[in-house]
Amino acid sequence: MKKRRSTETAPEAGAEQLRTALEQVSREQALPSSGNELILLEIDPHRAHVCWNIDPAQARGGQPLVLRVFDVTESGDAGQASQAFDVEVQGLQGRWYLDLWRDNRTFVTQLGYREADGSLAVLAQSNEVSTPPAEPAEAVAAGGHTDPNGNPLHTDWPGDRVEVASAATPAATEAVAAPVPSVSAPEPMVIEPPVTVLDPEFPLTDWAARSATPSVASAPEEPVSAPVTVVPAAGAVDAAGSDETSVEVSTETQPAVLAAGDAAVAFDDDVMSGPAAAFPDAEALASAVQENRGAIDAFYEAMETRAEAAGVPVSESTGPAPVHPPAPVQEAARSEPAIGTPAPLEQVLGLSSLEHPGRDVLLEVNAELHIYGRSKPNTELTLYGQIVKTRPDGSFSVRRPLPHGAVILPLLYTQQGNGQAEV
Amino acid sequence: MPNGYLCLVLHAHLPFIRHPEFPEFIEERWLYEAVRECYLPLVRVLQARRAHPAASRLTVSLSPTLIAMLDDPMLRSRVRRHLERVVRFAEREVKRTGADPASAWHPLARFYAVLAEQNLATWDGLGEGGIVDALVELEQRGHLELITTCATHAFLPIWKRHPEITRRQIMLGARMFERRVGHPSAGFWLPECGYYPGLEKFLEEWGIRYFFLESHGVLHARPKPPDGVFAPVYCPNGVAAFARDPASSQQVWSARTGYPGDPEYREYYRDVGTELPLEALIDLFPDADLTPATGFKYHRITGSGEQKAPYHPGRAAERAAEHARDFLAKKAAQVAPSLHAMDRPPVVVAPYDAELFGHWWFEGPLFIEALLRQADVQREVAMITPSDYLALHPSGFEGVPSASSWGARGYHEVWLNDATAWMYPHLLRAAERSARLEASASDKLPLVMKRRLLAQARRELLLGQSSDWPFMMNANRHTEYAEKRVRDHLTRFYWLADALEQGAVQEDKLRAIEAADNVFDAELLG
Repeated sequence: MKKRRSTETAPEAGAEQLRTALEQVSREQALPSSGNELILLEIDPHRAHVCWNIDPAQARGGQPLVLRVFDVTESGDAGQASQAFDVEVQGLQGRWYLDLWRDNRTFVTQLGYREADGSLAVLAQSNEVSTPPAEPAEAVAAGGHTDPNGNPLHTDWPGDRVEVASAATPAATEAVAAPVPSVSAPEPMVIEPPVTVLDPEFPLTDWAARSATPSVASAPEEPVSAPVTVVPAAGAVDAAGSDETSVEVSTETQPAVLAAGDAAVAFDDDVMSGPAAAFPDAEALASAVQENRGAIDAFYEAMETRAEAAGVPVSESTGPAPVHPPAPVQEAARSEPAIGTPAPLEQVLGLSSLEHPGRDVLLEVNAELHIYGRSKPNTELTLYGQIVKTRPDGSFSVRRPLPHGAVILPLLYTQQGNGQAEV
Repeated sequence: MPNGYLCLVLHAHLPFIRHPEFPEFIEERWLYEAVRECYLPLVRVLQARRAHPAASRLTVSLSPTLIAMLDDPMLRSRVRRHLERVVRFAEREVKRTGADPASAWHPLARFYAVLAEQNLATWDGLGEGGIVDALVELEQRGHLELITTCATHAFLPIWKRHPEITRRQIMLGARMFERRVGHPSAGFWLPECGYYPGLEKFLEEWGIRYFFLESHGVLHARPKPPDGVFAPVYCPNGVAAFARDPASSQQVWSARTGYPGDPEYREYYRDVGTELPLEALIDLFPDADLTPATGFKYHRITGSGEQKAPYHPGRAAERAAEHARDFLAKKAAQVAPSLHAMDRPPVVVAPYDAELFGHWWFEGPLFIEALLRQADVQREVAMITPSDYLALHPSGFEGVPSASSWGARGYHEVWLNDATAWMYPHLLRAAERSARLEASASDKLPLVMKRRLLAQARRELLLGQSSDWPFMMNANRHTEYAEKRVRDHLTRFYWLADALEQGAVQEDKLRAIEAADNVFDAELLG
């Protein structure tokens, strides 16, 4: 029974030397980048996740990359696939959720540039994925597939409407966008391209300039050495039809408080009442700003603290002095742990079935805002005064509950360099 | 013959967290808490049955990382240090509450003092073999069946296209189990119940006869299984897939009707550490400034309001026995209608994380004890293990289970989402390089050094593949730590790979990496 083996154990006395050596390895060893790469991983019966990386030397400036999705369930390979659809993607490196819509099928993707004849100049090909069945065997009608709501999808899958010209030249996106009208057919499905996947080399200022939607970031400049204000793009929610709202990051100078209030109102109208017919008047603005006063105060308080810590003088014009003290984050920490504090055991163990006992809730509905993007290395981001963790590749992703009323979500970007902090 | 069977399965697992580079490390506390609140009480409950015939049995899966930590001398000394500190804290609490001996708090403080002494005594009494040997002995006496899982708890569906990763995870899990427990594992806990069709072929290579799936993994099998979750589906290669019973999950964990929400049970969220000044805690709980959790909780759930009544351990224990009786009655009622519709008695599979019993649900070990005891004396539902079932029913309905997991929404998104996706391309690239490492090692290195570097590179890759890191990132809990772990294992892997291929090794750094990530010895790694 007892065949226990113990491997070598470091003496605790050597902890410091050990720490130094380990830190050196972590600091000095870089993670290698890849060449052209396209990785496809299934998530559930209807979705997959796609990651790609394309060598910049092979990029065609100004032309979007196209992800071509093949259903290879019967054929076994993309060259023989009878069905395909295209999704345009942005950035030479990125990742995205891919709606596949069909359960119990096998897919493969190619990434490249679409030629004039519709064929794809392939730069990378993915592995295959197989989506699991969404229903018990007997519930699946022959040839029928359903979306997550149980609606039949067979005639609405984008690839169904694509005539593949040949194995080497699959059809282009235009075919997807132009389904044959039919009285009895369901509404044509719109393929939403990923809109916020960023090229890692892409300067943040250019990123802001790419935005198709005007926002405070493009408002007239004021002589303010203001920190970055990040504002939900006013039209993004409406355009995308999704709760995954794009946000802009700008290093442009900003009109501070009023601009933030403006955006908050516009954003609020879009979300809560549909697209605003006209920009809110001054009274509505003032009301919204007043409503959001606590948030604004907390933001500028945090901004001042951060600027002081970074040795950056805070201009008087960056905003009014706080009227109220900032939110009591520290006091709240005991009952509701702040980010970074240790979690109870069950919150880190994969206890998927865990629910809070004793809470009698008939219906609880919440919404959240998903803010994500990428920053340059060695930057520090704060959202609403809280540090936003960037991942090793510079990307970040934050989810926040979406409260009722006007909302300001100030994102502060700080880059350290040459002993100076660029805010 | 009983009307049906109940398989209670406890999955015991913690990620490999061991930091010799720090005298105290906050995330190591999860091991201390699990030992004190879950594993030691479970061992006591089961050891109390040693004198009786092993009529009712349960199944326990022991993860290789947990075994490695429970056997590790450094972590063992730190666990003991924690248990001693709890004893000292209990003495303080007895003294503090003794100022008003008539209050409800003083008897509770004495209750915790007894418990703390008991934990320390149990730990010391188990000796060097510790909790693992205790469970092995209980298995030999017939009270339970031990099974294994993946080496570092990798979520295997992510690695579907990389059979060498899957093979290594399963191979090490099987080999470590056999060496430590003394026999091959008949069953396999797929981490997070993550499955894809074809995975059973890798399990078969190690003689595995069964594994567990979330309910829809069996319900969506092709062709459709006629007995739903009440009988395993036998894969084409004969390996059996048992389905988790959704009703058993609900009865234990439902927010509205689950047992742990009973007003008599101990309130989880009210720890005395949140009410005491920091200076009363910090010497015994060094992370108390961040999380003042002592495990000393003086209130019962009482109700949904903020006002909580004092906890009464005796009444809570009685309630645990009542709930065990109720659970067993519900299983009997569940299987009765299917009895005559099936060609064999239905089997209800109830798998849970072992760490929930005792930590989250304080009375959980008492529930298990009462369940086993009550099952011993009735004839409707027999508590058996999957191996017992397969001995009775070695074959049955053949089908191909469906890809699934027991994570939220039933598939992969807990482990593959925008918080976690960044790590997979890196891990895949590292795995691809690892496959070439042996052939590309520099001839300048002596064979012994080559082996050391290769073995350590494999350890780093395995540790980076743990499903615990993406789980923590997804839950936004200890995200920074989880990301650092993945990044550190990757950078260490590449450092080792470069050293191996370039033939230049900095010995001090190699020794540091070996000392820090010492899971699985070289012989086991192969």
